[in-house]
Amino acid sequence: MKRAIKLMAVFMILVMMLAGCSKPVEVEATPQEVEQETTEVSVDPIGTVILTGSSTLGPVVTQLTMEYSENNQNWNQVDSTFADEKIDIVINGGGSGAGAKSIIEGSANLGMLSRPVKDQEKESMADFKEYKLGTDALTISINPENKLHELQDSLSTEELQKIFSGEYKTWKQLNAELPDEEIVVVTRDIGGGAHGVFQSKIMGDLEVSENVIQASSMGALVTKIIENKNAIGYASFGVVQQNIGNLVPMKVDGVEPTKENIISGSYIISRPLLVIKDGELKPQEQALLDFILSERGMEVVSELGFVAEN
Amino acid sequence: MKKIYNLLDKMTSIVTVVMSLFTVVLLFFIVLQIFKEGWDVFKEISILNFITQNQWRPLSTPPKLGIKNMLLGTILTSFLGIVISLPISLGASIFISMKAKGKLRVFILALIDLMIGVPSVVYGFVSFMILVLFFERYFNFGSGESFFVAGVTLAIMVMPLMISAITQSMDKVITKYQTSAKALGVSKEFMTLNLLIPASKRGIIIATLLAFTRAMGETMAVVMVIGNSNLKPMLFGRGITLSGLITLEMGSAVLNSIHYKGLYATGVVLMILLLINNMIFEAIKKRVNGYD
Repeated sequence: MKRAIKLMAVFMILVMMLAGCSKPVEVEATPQEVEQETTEVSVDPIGTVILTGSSTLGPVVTQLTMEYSENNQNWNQVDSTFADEKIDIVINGGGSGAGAKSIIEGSANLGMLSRPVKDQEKESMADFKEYKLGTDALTISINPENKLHELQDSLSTEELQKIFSGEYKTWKQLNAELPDEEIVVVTRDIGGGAHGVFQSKIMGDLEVSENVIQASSMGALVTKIIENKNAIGYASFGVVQQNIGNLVPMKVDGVEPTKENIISGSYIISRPLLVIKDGELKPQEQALLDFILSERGMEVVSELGFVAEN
Repeated sequence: MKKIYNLLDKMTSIVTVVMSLFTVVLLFFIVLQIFKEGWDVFKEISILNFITQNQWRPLSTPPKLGIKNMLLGTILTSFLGIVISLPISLGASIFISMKAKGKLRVFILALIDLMIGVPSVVYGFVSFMILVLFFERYFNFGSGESFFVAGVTLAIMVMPLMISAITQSMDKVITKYQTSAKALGVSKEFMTLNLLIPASKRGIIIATLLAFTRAMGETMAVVMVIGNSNLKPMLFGRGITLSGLITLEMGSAVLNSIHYKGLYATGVVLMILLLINNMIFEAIKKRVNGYD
């Protein structure tokens, strides 16, 4: 019993030691920063820059910020008026909803959204600003072996609703010349951003059938369409470009998913990729955003399969 | 000199105890966190409804949260995995401990250890590219994803675990009784059937239950081959498991929404399931008398 108590004591001390580790450093650091500010630098140090939001936009921003902090180790290398502090950028996921929430609550410097900002969210912000990086589009794709694209090159919203809600069970029900085989519908997870766009643009209030295959990633979804001759699903524009010939994108309501149609908005199953902010950008945030919106930034947006804004 | 060793001894034991206490505390907080996040759901939906309803529509108004299909799916996939892997593992273990000698034995055991180290995504991918396509091409299935494929994948994954556990207990039995068996002049076949298998019964049961727990928690490989459709579990039909549901949707669930909490509650159910499994495991361990 005595021994157990001793051990507990040792354990507690260890925990306290661990817990105590971080605090003193912070206390020491703050006065130093204040000093710097008053003596030599005209711009306030920014500390850790936090970006929160969409997992679709995450990879784009992660790659760009990594390049940014590799090119310039310290903020004063970006601009000599900035404080001499290390560039420290943190990217959090959590989805578009979390992105908007983090800006409203002030827990992040910039929010990343892969959907339009809701009016309700705009109302909660005093000075709302948005910057568009590009557009992501979902193309309704089928397997090349499927004769559907020879019979009709376009699917209407209504036909899509019937396919995805499970009303059409076989290809024959869609088009009498097609074989009497099951339509294999592939979607992403029902709660995710990609499905959210499809739901709002095509399905409306209709629920997607429970019989659909939920792919765990866009890659898995495309593989399924390439491998299964009866599959249909919404593949993202970029992935389709990489797999031309292995899958066939269909027109929706007669509109072809081309770059021009996606940017002009006439192809409906698309969503904007946004960075948002409430209030004035700090100089460092402005510098980072300029880099994201630069030519290199747009290059990365296109590389990762989206339609870049410029 | 002796004093130094005594001191070292004490230090080692203290470090070990502290580390294990730390693990327990950590585990406690993880469990606490899962329960804390998941519990709110049960204020709106009773636990009974949560596990007996079919529909999972967390984003509809009002949200429908029912995990019956996933719960049954988890049990069915693990059960299938065990049913398929048990006879094969048993045979393999008998071969390794009775027949394989010297270099062959070392080689086989090394291969089996290697199998444990292969990441589950790899198993999932291989089985997606081979088994799923096989069923689509040759059996004319609309889609090859099914409980059966998931079961086979799990069987392959838990096999090395079972083989090494069963082999260990069989080896013990053999070292203990080999001389007596040889002295009595019984054949190898007789020894296998009447001594080896009954005597390592305990080891076999423990290995099976361990593998069952492992199979229930397995996520990625199953997600890739089961189709993730919220349907009633059928052997050659698509389905979804508890852990699969969590992996698929956790990334996109809005923080603190009913969806997010529902997924944590799913985690609670999965944990309770594993706990029940472990309790059975302990009970059997005490009850069954092994000769080893």
